[in-house]
Amino acid sequence: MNDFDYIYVVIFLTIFTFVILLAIILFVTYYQRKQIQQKVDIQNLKNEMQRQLLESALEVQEVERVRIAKDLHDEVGAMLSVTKMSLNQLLRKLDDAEDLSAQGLHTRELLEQSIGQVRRISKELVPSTLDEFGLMCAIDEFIQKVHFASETFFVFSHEGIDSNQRFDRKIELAIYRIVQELVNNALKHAEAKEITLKLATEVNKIIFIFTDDGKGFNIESVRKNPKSGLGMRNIESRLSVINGKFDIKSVIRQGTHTIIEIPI
Amino acid sequence: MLLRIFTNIADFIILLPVILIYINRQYLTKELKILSIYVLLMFIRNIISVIYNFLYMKYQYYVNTVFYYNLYNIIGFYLIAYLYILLLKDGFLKKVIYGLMIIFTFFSFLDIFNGTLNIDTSEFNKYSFAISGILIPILAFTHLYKILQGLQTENILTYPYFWISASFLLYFSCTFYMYLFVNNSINNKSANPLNMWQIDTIFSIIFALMLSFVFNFSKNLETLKSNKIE
Repeated sequence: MNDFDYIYVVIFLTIFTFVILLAIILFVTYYQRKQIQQKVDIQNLKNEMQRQLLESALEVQEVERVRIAKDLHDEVGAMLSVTKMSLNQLLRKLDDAEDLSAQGLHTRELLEQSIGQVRRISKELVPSTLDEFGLMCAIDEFIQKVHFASETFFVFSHEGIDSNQRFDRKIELAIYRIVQELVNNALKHAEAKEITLKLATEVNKIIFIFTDDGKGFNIESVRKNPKSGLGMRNIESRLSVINGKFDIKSVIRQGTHTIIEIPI
Repeated sequence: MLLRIFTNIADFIILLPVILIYINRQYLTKELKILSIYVLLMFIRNIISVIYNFLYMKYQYYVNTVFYYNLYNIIGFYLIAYLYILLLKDGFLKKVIYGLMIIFTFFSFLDIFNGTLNIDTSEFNKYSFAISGILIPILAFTHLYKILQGLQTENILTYPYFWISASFLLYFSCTFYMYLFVNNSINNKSANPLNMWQIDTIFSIIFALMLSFVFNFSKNLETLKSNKIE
């Protein structure tokens, strides 16, 4: 082998070595990319599984609410009504005994109150208005009831959305339950005097804005507290099922402002 | 002078994986134990080379070491083939490797009849060098492909089995062509092949360093095993 051949061999070997090294480097790069992709896929799979679990849990919850509402209305309510009728008959026979009659009237009032409460609980458990007339009517009915009971002032507007407009049942139910949760928080914890609810649609999404003039709260400390953060987590889980997101801002002694976006 | 320095480094660099084998001996899996035997074989080969080199330098006592290289090449192939039987864990591929071992044995016999077992031989193995030079990179490629399919480890650069195949792929692919040239020039007595050994020493140094990574990261296999159990 002369020097000329030797140079060619060296050049060939150098190129060949670089090719092998390049192949190894490419292998490592491709492996790391595949590894990252696998991680993303696994995470997506986990998220999807979690979402489905949550969705089925919420469905089970709704089914259970329907069952309880039905039992209350059909069985306890009916039983109370029969008891009331029986009491009415008894009262007619006790016309002469004044004391007994007064006691009977008082018992009837209590019974009437119980019947009313059973109806209210039954209706609250399953918002029949939501299924029959849609989200706007259901929210309207709900805030009217709360207004009469608490004297809190409500402003509800739905720009660009017809009163009878319907959305996907999951979305309607989620918004309705979130409204219940937010109103409940505003009254119970924030002692709000005025609550504003605004529903609007943008391109492919529903925007819901909830504002109250209550005491406000520290979002971080509420999030960290497992007891007080339950409502917020409930809202988050309901929104995660329908791929919604929410942003909450609260200022102490000034109130709370919540914006929810749900894709449609 | 430069050649001497490189040759000495190439002979002694094998101490690095040997030391790492000793340090990490409790983490050695069956596969790494087989590789350790291979490294020790290289170590013995280098010691013999250094001793004969010393005898030549000091007393002008010349012994041809080609016999040891030929023997190392044959035993080394069987060790590597068995290592890949363990690494690939695939019924079909195991059968293929056994088949390759039989083919290799056949060619080794041809070499033995041509003087492999003659201690004074000055000829490199004609067939077994070439066969191992072709088969080992194929096995390494197959193993790397299996690693890519499995995606078992988060950081491939700290996975010892990756370094095994990467080092075999680089060393055996590159030295294969070189051995062909060396063999050709020696067997035909056409020219002095010493120049080619300079290249071999460079690859030997890289090979030993890459094998050091294998044993350096050997304890990661424990973590990987425990993660799998979890």
